[in-house]
Amino acid sequence: MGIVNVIRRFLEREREIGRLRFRGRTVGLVVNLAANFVTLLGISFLLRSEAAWGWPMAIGGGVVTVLCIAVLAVPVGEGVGERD
Amino acid sequence: MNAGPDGMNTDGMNAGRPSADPVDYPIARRIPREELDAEAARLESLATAPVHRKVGGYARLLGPGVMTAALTLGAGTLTTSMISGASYGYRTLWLVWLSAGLGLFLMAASARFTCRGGFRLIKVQNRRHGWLVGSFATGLVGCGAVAVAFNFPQVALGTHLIESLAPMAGFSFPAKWNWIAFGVATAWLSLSYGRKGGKGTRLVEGAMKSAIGVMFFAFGAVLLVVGVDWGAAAKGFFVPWLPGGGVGLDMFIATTAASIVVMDWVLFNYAGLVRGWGRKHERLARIDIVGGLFVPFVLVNFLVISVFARTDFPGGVPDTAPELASALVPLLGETWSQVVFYVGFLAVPVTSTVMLSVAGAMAIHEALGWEPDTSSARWRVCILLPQVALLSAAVDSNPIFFIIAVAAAMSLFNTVVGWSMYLLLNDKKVLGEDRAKSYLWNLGILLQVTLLNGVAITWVFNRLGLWGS
Repeated sequence: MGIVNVIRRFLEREREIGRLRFRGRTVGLVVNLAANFVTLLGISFLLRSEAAWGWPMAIGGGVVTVLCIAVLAVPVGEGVGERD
Repeated sequence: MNAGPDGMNTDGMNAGRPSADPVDYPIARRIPREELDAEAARLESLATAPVHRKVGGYARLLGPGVMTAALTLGAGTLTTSMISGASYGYRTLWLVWLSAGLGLFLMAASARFTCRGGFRLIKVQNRRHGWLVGSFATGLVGCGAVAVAFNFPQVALGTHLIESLAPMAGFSFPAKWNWIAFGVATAWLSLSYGRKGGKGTRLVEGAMKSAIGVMFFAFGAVLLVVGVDWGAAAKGFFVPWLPGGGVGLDMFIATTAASIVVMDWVLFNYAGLVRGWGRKHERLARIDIVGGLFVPFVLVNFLVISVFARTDFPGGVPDTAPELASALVPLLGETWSQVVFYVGFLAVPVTSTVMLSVAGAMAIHEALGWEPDTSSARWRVCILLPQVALLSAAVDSNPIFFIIAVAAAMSLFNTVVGWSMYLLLNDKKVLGEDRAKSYLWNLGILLQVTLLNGVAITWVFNRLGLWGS
C-alpha cells in the first residue's frame, strides 16, 4: 500500500501548511464521487461503442476510485489524519 | 454542547465517555428500571453460557434487527426477487447475500451510534452536517416521505392477497372493502409500539418474529411443492453472473446498494434506543444484525427466487407482485399449497406497513424536533400517516407521480446519508475513542457508499439519456 501512504502523507502536509481548508475525509468522498462519475460515464461510452473515450475514462476513474477507498478506509488517528 | 439530564447533552449523546447505563430516549423511559437491569444481567450470563443456551437466549432478545428485516422484506424487494427468479432462474442468487452482506457494515455503524455513542442519529447529523443532511435528507425524505410512498405497493399487494385468499375460505372480500381490515390490523400493531412500558414494543417485535417465521414456513412449503435444482441453486448462490450490457450493471448497482438503506439505518438506531440499549448491548446488537436481519433476508429471498426459478410463465413474466403471485398460484395445484403461499405472502405487506409506520413516525419527530410520546395525538397522526395509501385501494388508483418522485429522491439522498454515517463513525468529536478503528469496517462502508454513488449517478444518466445498452 505504498501509494496510499504517499497520498496520506501528502494530504497531512497540505493540511499542516494550511493549503487544505476542508476536512480530509469530506474532500476524499467528493473526489470519490467524481471518480465514480467519470468511471460510469466511461462505461456508458463503452456501452454505446465509443471506445476511444470509454476505456481511458473507465480505467482512470476506476483507479482513482480504488485509491480513494483505500485512503478513506484508514481509521482516524492511525498514523496520520489525527484531526479528522 | 448543551448539558442535559444525567450528564448527557440534549441529543442524548454520551460524547465518547464510557457509559454502563442505557441511553435516555423518551420511549425507553417507560420501561421499568428492573426490566432493563434484568436484561443486562441476562446478557452477562449468556456471555459464559453453553452454545445451545446462547442461541436460544439471544434469539429471545433479538428485536431491532428483526424489525429491520420486516421493513426490508416488503413488496419491492420480493417483486425484484420474483422477477429475478422468473427471468434468470437461480443465477442471481449470489446478489442476495452480497447485498445483505454489504449492508451489514452501515448497520453496524448504526449499532455503534446506539450502544456506545448513545445518540439519536438525526439530531447529531443536524449538529455536525447540517439540517439539510439530518432533518431533511434523512428524516423527512429518507424516512417520512418514503414511509408514505412505499406503503402504496404494500397496500396494493396486501389487499390483492386478501381478495384472492377469501374465496378459498368460501366468501368474497374484494379489495375495495378489505382495505379496512388491512388498515385496522396494521394500525393497531403500529400504535402498540412503545406503549405500556416495554410490553407494546415486545408485542410488535414478537409479531415481526412470528411473521418472518410464517414467511419461512410458507415459502419453504411452496418450494417443496415446486422442487429445487440444488446443483443450479448452489452454482447461482456462489458463482457470480449478470446479464450482459447496461442491464447487468444496472442490476448489480441497484440490487447491491438498495436493499438496506436510510430507513433501515434509522430504524435500527432508534429501535435500539427504544429498547434502552447501551454499551453492554453492542454484542447483542451485532448478533441481531446478523441473526435478525441478514439471515432472514437471505433465506426469504433465496426461497422466493428458487420458487420462481422453477416456474414457467408462458405469457411472459409479469412485473408487479400481485400479478406474479396470481400467475404462480394455479401452478401450485393443491388448494392447501395455494392457501399457504397466500398466507405467507400476506405477512410481507403487513409487516412492512407496520415498520414503515413506526420508522416514519420516529424520523418525522426527530426531523421536526418533537419528543416522541406514544400516547400523544401527534405521534398517532405521524404513525398513521402511511395509511393514506389505503385510499388507493378504496378508489383503485395510485399517485404514481409521488411514488416515482420519492424513489428518485431516495436514489440521490441514500448516498448523502451514507456519507454522513461514514463521517460520523470516524468523527472523534462524536464518538471519541469509540470511533471506527477497523480498516475492514471502513472499507465495507466505503464499498457500499461507492455503490450508492453509482445508484445516484446512473439515475442521473438515465434521466439524461446517457445510459444505454
